[in-house]
Amino acid sequence: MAKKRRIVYTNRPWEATGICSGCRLCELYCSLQANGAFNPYRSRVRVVEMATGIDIPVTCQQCPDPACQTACEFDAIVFDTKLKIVVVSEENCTSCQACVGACPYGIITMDPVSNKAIKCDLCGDSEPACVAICPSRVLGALDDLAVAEYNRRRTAALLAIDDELLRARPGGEDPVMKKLEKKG
Amino acid sequence: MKSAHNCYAGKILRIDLTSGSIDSEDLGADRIDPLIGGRGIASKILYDEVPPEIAPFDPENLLIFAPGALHGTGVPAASRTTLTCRSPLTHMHGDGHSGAQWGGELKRAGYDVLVIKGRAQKPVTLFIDDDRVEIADADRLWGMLTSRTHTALRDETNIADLQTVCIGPAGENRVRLSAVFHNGADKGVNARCGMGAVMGAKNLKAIATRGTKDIGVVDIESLKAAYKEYVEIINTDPHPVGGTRYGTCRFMYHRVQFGIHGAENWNYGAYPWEKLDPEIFRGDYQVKAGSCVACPIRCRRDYRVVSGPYGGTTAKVEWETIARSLTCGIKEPEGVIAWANICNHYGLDIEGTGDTVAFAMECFENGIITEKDTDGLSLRFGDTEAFLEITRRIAMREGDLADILAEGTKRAAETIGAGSERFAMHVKGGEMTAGDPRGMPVRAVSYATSTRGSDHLRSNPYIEEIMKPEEALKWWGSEEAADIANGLKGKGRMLKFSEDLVTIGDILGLCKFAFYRSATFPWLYQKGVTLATRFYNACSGRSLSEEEMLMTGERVWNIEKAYNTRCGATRADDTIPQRFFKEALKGGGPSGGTVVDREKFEAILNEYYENRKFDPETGLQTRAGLERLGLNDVADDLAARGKLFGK
Amino acid sequence: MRIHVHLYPPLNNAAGRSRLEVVLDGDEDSLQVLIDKMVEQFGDQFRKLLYDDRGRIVGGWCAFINQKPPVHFNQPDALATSLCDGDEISFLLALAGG
Repeated sequence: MAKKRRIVYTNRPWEATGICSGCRLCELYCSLQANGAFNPYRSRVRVVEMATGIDIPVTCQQCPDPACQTACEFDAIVFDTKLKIVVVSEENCTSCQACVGACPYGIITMDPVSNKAIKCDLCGDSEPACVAICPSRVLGALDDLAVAEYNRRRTAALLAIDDELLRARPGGEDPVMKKLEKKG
Repeated sequence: MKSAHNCYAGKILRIDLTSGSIDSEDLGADRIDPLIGGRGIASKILYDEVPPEIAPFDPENLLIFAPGALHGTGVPAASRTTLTCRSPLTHMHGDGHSGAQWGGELKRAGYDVLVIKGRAQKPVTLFIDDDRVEIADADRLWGMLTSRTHTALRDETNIADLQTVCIGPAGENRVRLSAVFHNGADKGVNARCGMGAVMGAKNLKAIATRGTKDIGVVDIESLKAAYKEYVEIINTDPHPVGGTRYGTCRFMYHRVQFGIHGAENWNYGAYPWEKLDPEIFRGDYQVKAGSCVACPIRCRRDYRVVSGPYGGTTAKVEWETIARSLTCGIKEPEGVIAWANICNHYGLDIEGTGDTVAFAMECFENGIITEKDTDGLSLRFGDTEAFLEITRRIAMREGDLADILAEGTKRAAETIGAGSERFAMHVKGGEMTAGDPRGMPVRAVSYATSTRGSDHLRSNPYIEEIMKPEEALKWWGSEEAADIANGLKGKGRMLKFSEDLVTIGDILGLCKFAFYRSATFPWLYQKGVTLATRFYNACSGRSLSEEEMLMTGERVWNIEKAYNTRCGATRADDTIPQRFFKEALKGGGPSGGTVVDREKFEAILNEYYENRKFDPETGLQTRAGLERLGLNDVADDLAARGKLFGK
Repeated sequence: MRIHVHLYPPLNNAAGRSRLEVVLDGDEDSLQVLIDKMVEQFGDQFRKLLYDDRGRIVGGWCAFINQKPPVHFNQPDALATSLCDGDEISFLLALAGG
């Protein structure tokens, strides 16, 4: 039975070229695959350029309980049993944009040419175009087990920020413990 | 010529800032067939519409923005957008190419070319947002650095992906060394030729663009097949790898081994370079190894200084930034990064600015300029503080000396006089670039024949370094064309070919490092001609042969040459600074003690003119040569002005 | 004889180092012999940088022997250049471009 996959930013930050370069070939080839033409605004993976100059490719997280599907009142976001993800049904989409507002990751968006909602559909189970084209190999189509490896690392990264901030504090005291002690 | 599916948008957008008019016209086969796109179309528009009677700062001078024909498609490294105008630096043809994304946005908004004429009464921004085109007030932006200009526009429009081009204070002040910056300070530049000053003279602060339409490709399978072959080559060819590892810093090793730095205003070939080792930039300062749009090679670099007097500075640095820093005697990385930062934010071209500052430094070292002139600055080679401060003053035209230097090396030398002319290192007013030509005759000639002033990117004379003698025999009729120092015969032909070759790149919008640099000639040809043609045919739906593609390059070159002739250039201007002929390269090293051999120079130039079908004595074009390229109108125009050889 | 070799990128990446000493034992010591020895030591990745897919030496390389003007590999008999004990040789890609 085919496994559910999703596109993950498979960065290797210990390598100078193991992070997104900002080339946006993924956007170009995603839109080519989806529409037969080049248009980053119609790409389902988008590269976000941060103020620091860092580029990050983001795309649909293929949530198991998708907020976009819940928000849609027109049955335009439907579960695909083969891909095990939700996909947009263009004929039902009324362009109301409820899904766009509902997505906590800011991923599902409106195609400026078709005016329908668009999201990553793993290129319909053929080899995802973004994964194939990325010259830095920082995009992967991963199954649940492999995704968990990255999620674990990212959870640790959040905790690591906490460590970093506290380490910078003079005296290294734990503010939470201090508060609790005072209450006694 | 817009098919629903090809790579053209199909229109030219014309703006007149004097009247405020906004018009568009179709981009037809009459332009596409002979010129294809990018630099090709731009050069012809300049020729047709900006005759020599129009001076660079006149409102009738045009700013012509033309993304390469393939920019915006998924062709690898099809990232370049050309800006063309009559140059206020050289008073001749001027252009520059940027690798940022704005050109693709223009195409997606519906326009292959943007032509801007006239002068606004007050500072303005041109907004192009798909079908909405508007000229709006820009008073609040005038005076802003390039970086702030971009973020201000992005914040005001609330368009996160807004693409902009703008000038900084240098362009506003009509500094003839200023450039046009894309998306702020560190993304891309249309540099050289002082084009920022033309934009400033038009009171045009910025162009802000969003375009959401498709850019098509007719034959997707052919595109993908060509892409696959391209990747095979760059994975085998040792040349691109250095770029991926070090960025363009990698050229340091070449300059060191050949001993051709151009240090201290082109006096020294060998020079203390060790602190500028690419490994040091990579290990100690690198914060980002990035790519221009659609490029797999990844040779852009952002560097940060963490501590010390320039701590906190982050800047995009390219090889020429380091090279021109050496030209000013700067030997350590933090000064280089700090200088790049100033140039990028104030809106200066590092090539012209570096050479102009070096000129001033040599004048100072020789007592032609004193501390009285510099308001106390010790303008010596290697003095980083002076280097940074004089650059900032040039951008702001602050003080008499900076005001003079802001006019570029050639004019500065004319104004200062007192024998300073022999320190002015430029060709036709365009400052020197890349490495020292002493010991490399064809490189020397290539600087002289470039159509936009001294330029190493206008041609690829380095082919002689990779070609085998049997290849040279087949292509240039002589084995000795593959011999760098001693060969003569065939080098003129080779130079012509390399110029036409690289022009193709600018027409299509292909990056030269991705397509026109290789370790063998077969790979170079395969990428730069064969695959380039296949990519174009796949995206456009046309069926050009490789010969036709090369001929397009030749045609565009001839248009620019004609433009320069019309502006008064003669064979006498196809030369290089006297220093290279007369003064032996100092500092020892592999090229130490050499000069450019005048006889060899002239011999190669003669053969070059012959192959270009120019009259060797005058350097003028011939009717036969122009009509062969379909440039009958250009021939007629030159003849009417007495600038054609024969009739 | 002992040769001091300086490898520029990307040869140094393939070799894992920029500087090395190579000992040549044979009677005939030339650039070709030196290259063969290094290919033997560093393997396929190294060899592929120097030779194209038809087994011919890539013309873009050049060798600087004792800081003298370079021997360009695109020239006939370049690799036959003979070497002396103690020579310092740098291998660099010639095609530059600024």
